[in-house]
Amino acid sequence: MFSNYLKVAVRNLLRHKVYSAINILSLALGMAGCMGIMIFIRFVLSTDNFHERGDRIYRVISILTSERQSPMHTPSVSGPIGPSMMNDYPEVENYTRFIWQWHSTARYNGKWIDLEKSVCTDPSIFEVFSFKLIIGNPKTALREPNSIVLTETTAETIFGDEEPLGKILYFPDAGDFKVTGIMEDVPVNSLMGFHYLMPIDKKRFNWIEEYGRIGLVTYVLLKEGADPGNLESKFPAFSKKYFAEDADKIAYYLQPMKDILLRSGHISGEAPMALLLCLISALALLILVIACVNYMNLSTARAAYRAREVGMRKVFGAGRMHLVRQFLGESIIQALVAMLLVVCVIELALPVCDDMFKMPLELDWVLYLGFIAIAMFAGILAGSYPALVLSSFQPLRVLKGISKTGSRGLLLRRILVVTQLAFSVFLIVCALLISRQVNYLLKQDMGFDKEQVVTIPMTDRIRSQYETIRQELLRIPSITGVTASSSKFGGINQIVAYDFEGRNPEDSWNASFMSIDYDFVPFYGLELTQGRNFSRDFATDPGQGYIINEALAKKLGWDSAVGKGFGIRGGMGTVIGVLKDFNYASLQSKIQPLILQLSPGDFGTLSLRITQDNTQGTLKLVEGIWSRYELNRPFKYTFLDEDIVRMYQPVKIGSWVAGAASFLAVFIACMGLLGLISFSAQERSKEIGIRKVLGASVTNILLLLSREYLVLIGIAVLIAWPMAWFAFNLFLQNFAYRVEIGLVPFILGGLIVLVIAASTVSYQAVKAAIADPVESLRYE
Amino acid sequence: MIKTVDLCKVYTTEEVETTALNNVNVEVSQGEFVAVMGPSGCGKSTLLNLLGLLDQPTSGQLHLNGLEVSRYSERQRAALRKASLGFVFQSFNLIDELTVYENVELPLLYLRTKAGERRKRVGEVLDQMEITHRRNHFPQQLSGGQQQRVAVARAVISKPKLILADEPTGNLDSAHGDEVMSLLLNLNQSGTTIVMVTHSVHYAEYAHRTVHLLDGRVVTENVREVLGV
Repeated sequence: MFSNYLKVAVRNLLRHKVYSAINILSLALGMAGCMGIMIFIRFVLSTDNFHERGDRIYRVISILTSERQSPMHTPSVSGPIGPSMMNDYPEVENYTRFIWQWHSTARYNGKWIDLEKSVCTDPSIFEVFSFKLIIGNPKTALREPNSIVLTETTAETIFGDEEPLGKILYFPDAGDFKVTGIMEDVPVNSLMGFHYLMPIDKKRFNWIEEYGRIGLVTYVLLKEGADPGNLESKFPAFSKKYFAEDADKIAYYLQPMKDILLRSGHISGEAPMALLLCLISALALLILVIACVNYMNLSTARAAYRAREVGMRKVFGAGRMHLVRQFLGESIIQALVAMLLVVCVIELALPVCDDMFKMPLELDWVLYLGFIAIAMFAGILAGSYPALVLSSFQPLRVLKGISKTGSRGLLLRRILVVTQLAFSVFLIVCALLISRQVNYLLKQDMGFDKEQVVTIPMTDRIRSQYETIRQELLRIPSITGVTASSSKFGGINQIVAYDFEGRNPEDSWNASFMSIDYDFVPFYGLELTQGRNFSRDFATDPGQGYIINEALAKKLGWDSAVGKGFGIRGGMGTVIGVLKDFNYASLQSKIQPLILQLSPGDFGTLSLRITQDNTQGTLKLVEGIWSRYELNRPFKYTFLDEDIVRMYQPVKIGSWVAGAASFLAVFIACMGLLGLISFSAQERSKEIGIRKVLGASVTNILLLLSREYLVLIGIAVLIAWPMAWFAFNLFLQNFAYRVEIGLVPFILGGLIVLVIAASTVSYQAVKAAIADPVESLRYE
Repeated sequence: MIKTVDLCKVYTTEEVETTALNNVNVEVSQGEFVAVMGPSGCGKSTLLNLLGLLDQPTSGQLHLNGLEVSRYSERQRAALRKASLGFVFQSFNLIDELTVYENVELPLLYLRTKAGERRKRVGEVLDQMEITHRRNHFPQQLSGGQQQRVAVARAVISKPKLILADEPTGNLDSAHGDEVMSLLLNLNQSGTTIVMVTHSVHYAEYAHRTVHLLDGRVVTENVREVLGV
């Protein structure tokens, strides 16, 4: 029986090539999204699963509580936490601590080499995690404070074919380091993608033994059979022991290693990966459903072609279930063919993906099983409704030639088409709206002048010679301004506790902090609403003068802030000016309180404003000055406006994903429309023939065939608009600064679908309308 | 073998009620060859569809092999159809996607006959119908007469006790029509009961007797006797 079904299925596929192609291609496109997501999720789930003791490794998370803020979960803890836990609790077998360093430059043989992120850690890293040393002894490699362990690729980049062991690398911030080990590269599916390891040097990190300073990540390895819950129950006592009266402000718990990637949404600074994956999967699933709807529509519309077969099978004794099985089988076969197509494309795309994103994705049997499951699901979903409709035919009726599905089937088909189109319009409008929001953020007046600004990270030498260098830079005609600050806009991550007159000594108050020089305020075009800028005329300005922003003045309830007593880091001075609020961070968040102080010792970023002409020439001149003062560090710069664009990259990716999804959805929906209209043109060919014989024009016929679809597109647009409006409003909740929603994206989104769908429909309709009527009538 | 008692079939649409059969009482014995005749719309095909369990009567009784089957469910009727009935239609109703061999084999698949047995029986029947040389062709590659021979082969493959033929020669020229009628006659002579609807007096003469219908009623039975033929 199965082979009989298979034969009929294959012969039907080959006989109606256009419809088969539409069905298979729609299913393939719909399944491609799901299959792609499946590969990605499998890759994500494999994150850090290569550590042999992974099920016993936990990250220590601290919950910091203060009266004015909701509790903050952070993986950043103080240095002695790991050693103390190991000391106090027999359950803890080992620990290792990570101090991340994001970017550095090293010199070897007089050449500067840029190195990406690295970790200062304990020698126990090789006992806790399963990183493998190729050369060197894991027990001793990180014992000396000036030792360094490189990954294979990093060693190759620096030394080429030379033997790396024992070679000396010079780091401007930390001095000379001797290579004591080479380790395998950290797998791509690890959250710890460091390029080299250094020991935690107590001299460099002099805060490492203070309980009060947080700043490193601690992983603990529990003994076999140890109960993490039981251990956590002892942590309140731990806080009490080491933090005395502050114990109620700090609490600890253990996060299993396998939860770090997916279940860290509540942890400060970490992305809600699980939520994101769910959202993308839901999107992929919706597109698959759209593709399945195509199959349902086309199969039920064309049911008449199979009616006689169904009738005869029933006459010869087939039960309804026989037929349901047969038609489900056919849809599953088409879904499997579609799956094979997608697998071929994926096989071709994976190497490209590896090259572009450094993601060595691979197809294995688990994924193949998953693909088959997706194909089965798509086949069953797509085939279920047609199978029910076709198997319900009464043999007598179909043998008499009455096989139309009737008005109910037609209504359902219309509902399905409207759903598909509405979803397409919804996605397009969302994509347009998100990109509008991104553009809005980029064009938004941030309250400071970001054009033509070059920022250069400062070194100790540059900092110490700042005034001289500033004068030299200003002598270059194409440089119109020079200033320095502790960090650049968008990158302020320094939070300080501040003091002010009238503060309740019990309370602690925190705000963002930036150290600036005299020229910073005019350089960036910042506006003072009260008081004055820092001035060289006032000897007390450096160190004791403070400029705050309006947000801070408002928080403190100061209408007139100038002259009020204010200080940070234990010192006390006065507020000399209040700046009009400007967006020093991402526009996603509201403007937070900010303190500006004149303290040249904190400078970390040099900002230059240059004229538009001959940018490269200007930068060459700047590099010339740089290299006269700084021999140990290469000259590096970025453009501020580009940095700001980078800040919105995640939102841009969101808009890109919505755009790609809407393209797929529109494409699939239009293929379905193409199938339906060509079928209806075929079915009505006799009617069209008669109408043409009686004098109908091509336009009349065109309207006759496409009117119904135009109405359906219209209904879809009307349904999609409020949905998109609602969804985008939800999305906007994430932003402190929101674009006016406006009508344009809605009208544009509707028009795009209308034009694409209408041209699809008209193409077929025109073909039918200009056909020779004699042809269609002859065969009737 | 067949006995109908006051068999009625009324088709109801939203606006019209049409009585297709009105208190029809017919009996067909085992081994008989009965022709059903009458003008278009008299209810011939309706009667045949009721006898073939393709449709349910509005009222009255239908006895098949001593069983009253008029109220059987679709499932029971399907079971009975595949076990003991064979059908031949005017428009052949072969499945376009299946070859001659596969079309003939189809009823055996639903009877779950073993593959070896299927091959043997399909081979025999194709030989009997003299279309073995066309076994791998598709229906649209055959002449009308050949298609109807395939349809007859498909009707007899399950060795049914009763074959219901609805104008089996209606779409055929006289040479092919004669061929098909002699096939049916052969089957009848070997013991199969046949009820055949026809417009043709010529082909009705192949039957043992003829039932005449007019406006849904039996007007005469055994035309040959009435006319003194």
